[in-house]
Amino acid sequence: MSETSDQLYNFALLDEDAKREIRRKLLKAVAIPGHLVPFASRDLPIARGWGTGGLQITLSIITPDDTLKVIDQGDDESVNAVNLRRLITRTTGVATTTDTAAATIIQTRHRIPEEPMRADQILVLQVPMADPLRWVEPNLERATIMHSEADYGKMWVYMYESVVRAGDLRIASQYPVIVNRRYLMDTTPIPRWDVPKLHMADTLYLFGAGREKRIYAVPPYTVVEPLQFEDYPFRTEYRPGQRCARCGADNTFLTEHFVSDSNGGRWETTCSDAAYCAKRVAQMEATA
Amino acid sequence: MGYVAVRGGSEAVARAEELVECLRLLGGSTPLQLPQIRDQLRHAVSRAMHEGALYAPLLAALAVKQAEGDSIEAAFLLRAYRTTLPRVMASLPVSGREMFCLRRISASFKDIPGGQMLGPATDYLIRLLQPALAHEDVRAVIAAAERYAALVEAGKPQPGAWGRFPKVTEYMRQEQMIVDVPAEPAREEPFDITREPLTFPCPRSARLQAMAQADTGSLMSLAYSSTRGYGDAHPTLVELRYGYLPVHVAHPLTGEPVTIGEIEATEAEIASKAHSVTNHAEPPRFNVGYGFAFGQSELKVMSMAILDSVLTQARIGSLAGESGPAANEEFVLLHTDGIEASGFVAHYKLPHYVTFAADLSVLDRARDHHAQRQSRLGQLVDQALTSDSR
Amino acid sequence: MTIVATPPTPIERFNGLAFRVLLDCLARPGKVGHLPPPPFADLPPLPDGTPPNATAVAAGMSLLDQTVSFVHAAGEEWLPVDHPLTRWIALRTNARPVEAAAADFALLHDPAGTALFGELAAGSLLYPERSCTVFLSVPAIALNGETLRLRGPGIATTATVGLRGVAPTELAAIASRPSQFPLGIDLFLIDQQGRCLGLPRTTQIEVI
Ligand SMILES: [Zn+2]
Repeated sequence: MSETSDQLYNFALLDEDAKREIRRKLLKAVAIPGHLVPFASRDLPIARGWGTGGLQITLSIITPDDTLKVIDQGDDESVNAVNLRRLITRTTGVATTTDTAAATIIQTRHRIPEEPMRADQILVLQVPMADPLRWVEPNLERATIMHSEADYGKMWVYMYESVVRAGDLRIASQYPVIVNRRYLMDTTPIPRWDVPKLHMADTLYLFGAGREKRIYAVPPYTVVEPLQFEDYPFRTEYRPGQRCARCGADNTFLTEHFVSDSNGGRWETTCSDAAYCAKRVAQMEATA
Repeated sequence: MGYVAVRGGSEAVARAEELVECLRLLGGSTPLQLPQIRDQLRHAVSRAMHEGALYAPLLAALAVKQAEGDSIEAAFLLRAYRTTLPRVMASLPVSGREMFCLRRISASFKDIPGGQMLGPATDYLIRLLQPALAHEDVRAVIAAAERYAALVEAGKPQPGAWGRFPKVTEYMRQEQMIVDVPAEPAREEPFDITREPLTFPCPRSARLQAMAQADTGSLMSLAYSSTRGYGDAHPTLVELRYGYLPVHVAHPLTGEPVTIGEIEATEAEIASKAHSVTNHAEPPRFNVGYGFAFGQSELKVMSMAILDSVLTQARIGSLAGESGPAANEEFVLLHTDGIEASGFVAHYKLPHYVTFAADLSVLDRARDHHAQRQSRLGQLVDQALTSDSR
Repeated sequence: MTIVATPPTPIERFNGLAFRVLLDCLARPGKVGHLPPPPFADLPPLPDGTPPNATAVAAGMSLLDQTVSFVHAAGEEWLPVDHPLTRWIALRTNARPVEAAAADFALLHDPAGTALFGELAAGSLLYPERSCTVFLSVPAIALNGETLRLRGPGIATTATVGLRGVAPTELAAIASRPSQFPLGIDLFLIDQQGRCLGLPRTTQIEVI
């Protein structure tokens, strides 16, 4: 491209009409917590399924004064996080950070940061499957009617069957919740560990599903209850005695990694929130 | 080193792009020029344009080149470019009757007003590889030009009418063999799925737009399934035409129609054997399905027309989903977009460590549950055996 | 890293900043937000000759384009399609002026407009989002006042907010606005200083 290439794109890539549509839908989503609001979902230069819903929300809310953090699997350096951050910063020029506390907007896939988020921050979640009823009713027309009537009987049956077969609520990630005692909502593929962070939180959660063309939200201080049975209560992945091999945290979500060493390597369990883990390690080194 | 490879992501992403660029040119052959692709890979260009939903032959040639011939990737590149363009205005409706035809055929009648015109078609070609193509040079270009001139001279029709034909459906409508064009609730412009969310039931204009930019192979599979046995489509090709179609817009000041250019396009109309039963006061007629795509894209428009007729029929009979997957509008429209489907299938290449760790934790608990049940079962069996032996 | 985009124009910048205030206020009923100064000042006057609240109009306009519709009212009267202010808004946004029941957005230029709430769309159970969003101009929102007590999503326990220059009947209309969750209208109250208060349909309002 020529010297004028810096004139090629709009601020935040999307044209103003696209942003306005998403802004209107975001306001509806906040006013109707947990309800799936359809939006047109523009084509983007990144592929569907790779965060186009979250990206469209971020691009519609971001202002030049924001500080952005992008994570994938809890990690700022994961390739897809790098790619999305690159697209957002190249079209906005906003500052970026890996520090959860320093960010004003955090876009994420599959995790909610371990550090509690504040009221002046927004978490934007990338959503692959927007409707939790998809498991029991793939037809959108019928699922929309079920939501309109709060008819979630099929979902309870599905959950009950999983308890009988597997002895546990078999859903690992994207655990279904009831928001504001009304709408059944997909929590995106966050682990169960993160689900309680949605309940009565200080921060605003915005959810974008680009391919499914739906936007939804959980406002702060909103009741979010996981589906559970009296005799089979909701449980997170937490195991008593669990510990991060790097920072020693005993209250984080852990994933396993293979670490090469002179003996060929070993499996290690560490915090999936890489920035949080690094921050703790740095603090320990500073005090040591 | 698996852990290391996904961190340091910025570096890895940049290197991956460089490698792709290198591999394309590393063979040492002459880089392709865009006019070569536009002229000699016509069908690849057509496909990038209709699936990318942007009529721009040279840009499509660039997309084909950049995508190294991958049809879905080329369409994706065009879509991602199109999305940055403003939607200036909607063109005026144009009838296929205005097409300057290079080809038009009908399978429903032997003789049709204006006559059949085979035109450029591979349908009756014996599929033998032509070794001569491997050694073409500029002499072949000159020879082709001469042969083409002779063909045009020999086939020149009466002056006046050539290239433009009445439509077979016009005659069939006159004779009340087929249904009228279905009436939609009045809208100033057709539905635009790039501007409005697609919700179901959707207007027919949304259905047609979604299919016009859908993946050719996906439409073909579904259309095939309905004709082969998972459905009750019994299509007859009323007319297929390929040629140049003028594009008109209303002049922004005067409102008068102005022709702003022409596009290469293919159009198909299919009569379906199932009778229309919308209105019992009227005699039954055949349903019509419609297909349209940029460029010469015959398989696509026929598949689209078959699916359109199947979906119309399903809606009239409220049979959505009951006569095979191809009769389920949501199923067809939500799974045939090549850009969306490919993106989502490919997204499983992204790291899923978190969800997998969560899955593992559920697996562990299921194993514990299984083990407990087995041991309880074992105890029961032991008890039963002991009481037996007493 | 090369930036490949143009910086936002003044109107785009206002729209972007204003949206964050609107979003924050709607997500946190009771929180008083501060809208940026409006990017224009040449608004045609209302029928009684007074100028409309430019910040409220600009905030409403930031969400309007060719795909949505609007109504607006001075006092208890909807302003006609050919009113200079209607034309002024329509020309700059391409939004369609329509009748109240069909409007996506309503600009109520003074608190008397609360009497018109009942005419606005509250959505349907299938599409609760097909409801009207209202921008209501009020004389003053007080930072530490006690006119309304609020409860609901976005509020940790309860919140109180002060309104000046709003009559008791108008306060009652705000408290009893159409809100049968998930149906209802969503309100933004905006005062002369650009202070903003969001009242989504989820908020239970009590006049103190
Ligand atoms: Zn750690």
